[in-house]
Amino acid sequence: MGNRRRWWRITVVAVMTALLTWSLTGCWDDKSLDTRTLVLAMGFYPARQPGQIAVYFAIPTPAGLTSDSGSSSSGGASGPPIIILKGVGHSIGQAFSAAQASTNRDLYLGHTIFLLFSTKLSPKALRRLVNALDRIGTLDKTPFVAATSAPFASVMGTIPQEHFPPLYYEELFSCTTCQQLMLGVRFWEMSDRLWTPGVDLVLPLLRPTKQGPAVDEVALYRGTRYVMTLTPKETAAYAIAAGLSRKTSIFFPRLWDTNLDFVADKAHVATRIMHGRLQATLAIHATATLESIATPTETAAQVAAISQKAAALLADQAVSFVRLSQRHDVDALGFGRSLAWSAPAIFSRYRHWHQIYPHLNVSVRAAITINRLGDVR
Amino acid sequence: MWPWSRQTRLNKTSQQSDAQKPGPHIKAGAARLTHSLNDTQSVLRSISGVDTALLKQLISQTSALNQELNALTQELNPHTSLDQFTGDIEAVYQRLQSGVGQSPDIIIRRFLMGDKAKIPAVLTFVDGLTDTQMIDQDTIMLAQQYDHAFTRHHDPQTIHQVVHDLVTASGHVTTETSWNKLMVKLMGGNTILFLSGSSTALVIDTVKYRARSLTTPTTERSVLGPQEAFNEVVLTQMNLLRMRIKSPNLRFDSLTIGEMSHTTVIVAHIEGLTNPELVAAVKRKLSVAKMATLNIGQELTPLLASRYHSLFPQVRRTERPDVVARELTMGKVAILVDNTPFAMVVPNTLADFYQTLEDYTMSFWGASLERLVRFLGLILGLLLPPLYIALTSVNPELLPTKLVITIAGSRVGLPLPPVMEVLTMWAIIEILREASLRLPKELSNTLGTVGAIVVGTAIVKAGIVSPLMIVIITLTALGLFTSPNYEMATPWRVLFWFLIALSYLFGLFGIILGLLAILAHLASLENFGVPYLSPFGPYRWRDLKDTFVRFPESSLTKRPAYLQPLDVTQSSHWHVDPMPHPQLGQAQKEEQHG
Repeated sequence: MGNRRRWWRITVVAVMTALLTWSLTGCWDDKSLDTRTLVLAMGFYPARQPGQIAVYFAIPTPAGLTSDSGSSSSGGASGPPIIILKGVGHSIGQAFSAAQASTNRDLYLGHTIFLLFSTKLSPKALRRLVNALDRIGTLDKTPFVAATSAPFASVMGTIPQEHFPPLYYEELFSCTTCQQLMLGVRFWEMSDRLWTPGVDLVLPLLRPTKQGPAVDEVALYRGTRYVMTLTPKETAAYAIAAGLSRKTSIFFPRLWDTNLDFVADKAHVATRIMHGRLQATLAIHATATLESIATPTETAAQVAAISQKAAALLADQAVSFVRLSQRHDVDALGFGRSLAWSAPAIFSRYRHWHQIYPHLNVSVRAAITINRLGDVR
Repeated sequence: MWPWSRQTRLNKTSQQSDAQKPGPHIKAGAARLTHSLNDTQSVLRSISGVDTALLKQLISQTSALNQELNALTQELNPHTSLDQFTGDIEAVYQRLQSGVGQSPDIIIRRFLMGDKAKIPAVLTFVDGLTDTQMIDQDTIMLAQQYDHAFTRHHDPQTIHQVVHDLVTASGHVTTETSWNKLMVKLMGGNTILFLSGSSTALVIDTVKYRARSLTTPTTERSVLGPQEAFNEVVLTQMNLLRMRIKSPNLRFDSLTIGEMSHTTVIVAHIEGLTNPELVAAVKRKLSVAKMATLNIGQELTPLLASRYHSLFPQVRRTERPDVVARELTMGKVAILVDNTPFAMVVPNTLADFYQTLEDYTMSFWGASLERLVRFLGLILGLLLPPLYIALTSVNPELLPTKLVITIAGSRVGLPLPPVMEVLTMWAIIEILREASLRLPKELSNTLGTVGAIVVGTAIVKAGIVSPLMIVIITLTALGLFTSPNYEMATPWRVLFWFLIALSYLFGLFGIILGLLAILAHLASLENFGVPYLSPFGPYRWRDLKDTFVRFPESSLTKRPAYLQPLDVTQSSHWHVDPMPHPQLGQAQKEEQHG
């Protein structure tokens, strides 16, 4: 009797464990890699039909895969490394279904590493797109995003340095020591900036050139509306103000022919109420290496003078960008967000931060530390 | 059943032996049976037109049975037991001749002791298992020539004592009266000497086995350690251990297991060190062994393992005497089985199966590195293919994009899904492994190399599996055999399939579930009261110093706590350096000046 009960108990436990395991996995809709088509990049453009969007999918071809992995079981194949599928619809789902109809494999978004948004997208379309992308379960929230005014195909045109263009952009934006300005924005950061009050979206702008893609400009958005594209010089000022500057060089011909290299800076934004008035502060702290100077050795007074001059230059750059952003009413540095964090009750009193920001009193402080020894990276 | 078949005869003999005091009717019954047998023989001889070979066999069988019965009836006495030797030397001779003497390897020799006394004696031994020089020179020759003792002692009942004390020159001589016990000793290689008039027979130790010479270990090789392995003779095994542990506290307790084989089993332990409860438990477990034959020590494993059906070995088998000696000095118990060149050591933990004596022949840096490599090999071997299946079939989103592209590129055009790829390759590996085990050594090396290269290259060229799979399976095959103990490779090879199935069904989630199940099972195992996961669970910092890594010798001063030895301290003087800086130059100066 006892034995039977024991076996009954074991059977029940085994069946329950199996059922629980079966029901908890959530793996049943997963498919093998062989049956999937990896979507490496997606591009979002306005369609010709009003109210519709065109979604482009960059997928690697078998020829591209075999030549990239360098080891194929089926032998080599020739052809372009990627092909681009297009789907048009009122929503991203419709566009996805339309693109899916042109391939016999499952379009898989689990390895999408790059998202490209046209600057011509309407604010409403961009909002809907970001919202929809946020809800796609298989889509990782870490792809890099960029804006462009060029067609998707030209941006995805073959880049000499990389077989698959999305991989090129992914590596470019994720490498901290590979770029002069750290302009990379991931999708979750974009989403965060769009839905967080008091800060506006800034996306790197891709500009295809004959020498390859140029990434030296940024597109400014107010909310989901595209406002303007900064020139390369303005973009450098934005990077200094936002603490994104990395490999910058400063030359002072009238100050002992001094050359400062590799400025890396940090920026801190603070907004608070002082004496009943809103007061914002932008503090920049940079480090640089004294690459060359006209005198054989530098004195402490020389270093102090150079440091002062360089700090003033950085502050000028930052002020110029702040003024520009205030002129266009784009809070790219997040002064409003800082106020919302430090004084949420006061921030909630302002119904529209964009009415406040152009008149915000911003003071900029800059300091620079000069390393006399080379710190070449 | 044929009434005079061998089985019937054996049954009858056994029944007769069991009866300690047969009644007078047995003699009459035996006479009737003999008469009946004679009639049957004559009838069988008169039959014609049948299979003559069969008939001849029947006749010879009945003749042998007849002889045996005749010998029994001669010896039968209503006042004595059949199992007791009576002193009737002629009856003994007849009984031997008609019984074991029918086997060609049993030598039965009748002779007279003493030149003048001329006492009849019968000597029997197994040809090939005995030292004939000892029998010829130290027993028969001396007994025939030595007359003085026999003339002074006339009492036939004490004549065996005279031979024991004054005549035979053999080192080890005992006495025995039970016929059954005498036969067992005879089969064990001893020489039995029956003396007329004495009811006690002498058992002379003339055992000389045809033993294999000591060779280097084949299953547990060592680069810097001793190069000696056990052979099949239990006495040699004991000698090898005694050479390494010269303490009188090293005890060998003998048991005999196997109703037919009478195999000698030795329980080795160190008195005053090994926990006596452990020794008693081992003996108690072995004492319940009821088996007809014990051919190999492995047959005792079910008795020694607390959960025999577990995949994981709980009894460590080793052919290295140095390993056994070390384990004994740690407080474990070793079991030596005659005819088995592998000693068994209990109790064991999982970590024990990943330790070798080689670890102690090198610096703790090298030993620690080797141990970590072993565990790394295990993890790689066990998890690589399941991870490959999980990450390509169920959870590809967890792979870096570049790796996914590489894998996808290597899988372009392949007809088989990843799981079938793994199964195909693993089946090939298992076939190659099994074939190389069975083939002669010279061929197996060639087969292994050629098979791996040719099959691997061909199967990739044929587009059946990807090149990546060859890398994964090669690492798996090597990784699963990094365990220094061969037995430990088997459970992982079985669990490999379990994890493959789980990874295919549930992906990474399944692998983690499987690993948790394995861990739970390991945690539940216990061998002679020692948790299998000791010293990790229960956690004991002191014993962790000799597990994944090996700490320096100076910190390994205590024996494992989980064995609960009577003497915990292993070495206590590591911190004392009597001469840290010997003054070599001083001696040189004194020599020059002096």
